[in-house]
Amino acid sequence: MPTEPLKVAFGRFGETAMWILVALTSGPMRAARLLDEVRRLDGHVGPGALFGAVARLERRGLIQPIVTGEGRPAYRLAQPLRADQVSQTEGF
Amino acid sequence: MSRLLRLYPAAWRERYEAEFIGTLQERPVGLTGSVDIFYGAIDAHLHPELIGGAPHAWTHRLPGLMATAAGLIWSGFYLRILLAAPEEWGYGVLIAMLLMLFAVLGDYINAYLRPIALTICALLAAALLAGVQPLNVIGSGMLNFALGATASLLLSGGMLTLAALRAGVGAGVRWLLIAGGLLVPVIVAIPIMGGFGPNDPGGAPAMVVAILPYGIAWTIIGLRMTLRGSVTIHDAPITKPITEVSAT
Repeated sequence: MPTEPLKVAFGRFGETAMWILVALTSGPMRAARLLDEVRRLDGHVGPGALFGAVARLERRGLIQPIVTGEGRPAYRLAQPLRADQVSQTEGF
Repeated sequence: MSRLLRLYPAAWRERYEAEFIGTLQERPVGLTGSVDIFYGAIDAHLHPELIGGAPHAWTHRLPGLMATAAGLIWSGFYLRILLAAPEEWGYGVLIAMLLMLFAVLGDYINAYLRPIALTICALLAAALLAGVQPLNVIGSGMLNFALGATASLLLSGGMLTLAALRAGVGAGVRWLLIAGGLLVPVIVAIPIMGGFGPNDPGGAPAMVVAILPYGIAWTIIGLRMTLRGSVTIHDAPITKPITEVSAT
């Protein structure tokens, strides 16, 4: 788990990455639903930025790809968010 | 829209393409979304480590930057000729050719030093025997013209091919760039330069038609090489990226 804030670690993808983590606290989501949730939290986000942030989160082991019961790919949090990660949302 | 995904690196597409296409089908995007996907593709090339590739050292961008600069200088120089029609050749072409040479060498100089040296010597010898200068292939006789043009085409085409290989351009696109950037323009322009066309024989328009696309082809290849990364003569040769095994 990164100790530095996501905004610093992920550059321009930091904000989107943070909102992805927040969105996934309510349970696993497919990318399309994730896009809706991030847009609801963060305004306009394109699919390029979404997948850029997803790749970074996956690489850092913060989220995991899973397959839903319908056989479709989705994502879930690798582990519950820590308090300091939740507090980062206040900075955005 | 999903055609834009072809701009992403192959390893990235292997991991995310199907999911990305599914998302685009469920949530279609407009022009802004297309721009966002385009930026995403650039980011994916700049950060191959995200999908298990080896991160690029900043020096890996140098060959691509040199190739891009060469293409831009070359194109700019011939555009200037077309627009302002100056008489002098200047140093633009020479600088561009040197940049092309440095961009192409890279780790090839380690692996293929002898064939490269032999090829350059053979081309120089052919040019000397034909009594022509590499930058001015039009000699007084037909033999000089033919030898000079052939040597220039081989050298230019060879360098463009090597640059395209270093940039990881596929065979189809590579041939398209060589044909569009070199072969077709030269075939079209040679009769004009020889006085068979409506233009002034050997005049600026014919010269530009023949040579400007070569600069454009180099610019395209250079941009791809910059994004993809390509080792310099000081770096270790590229090894295949390590595929990460991740548990789901």
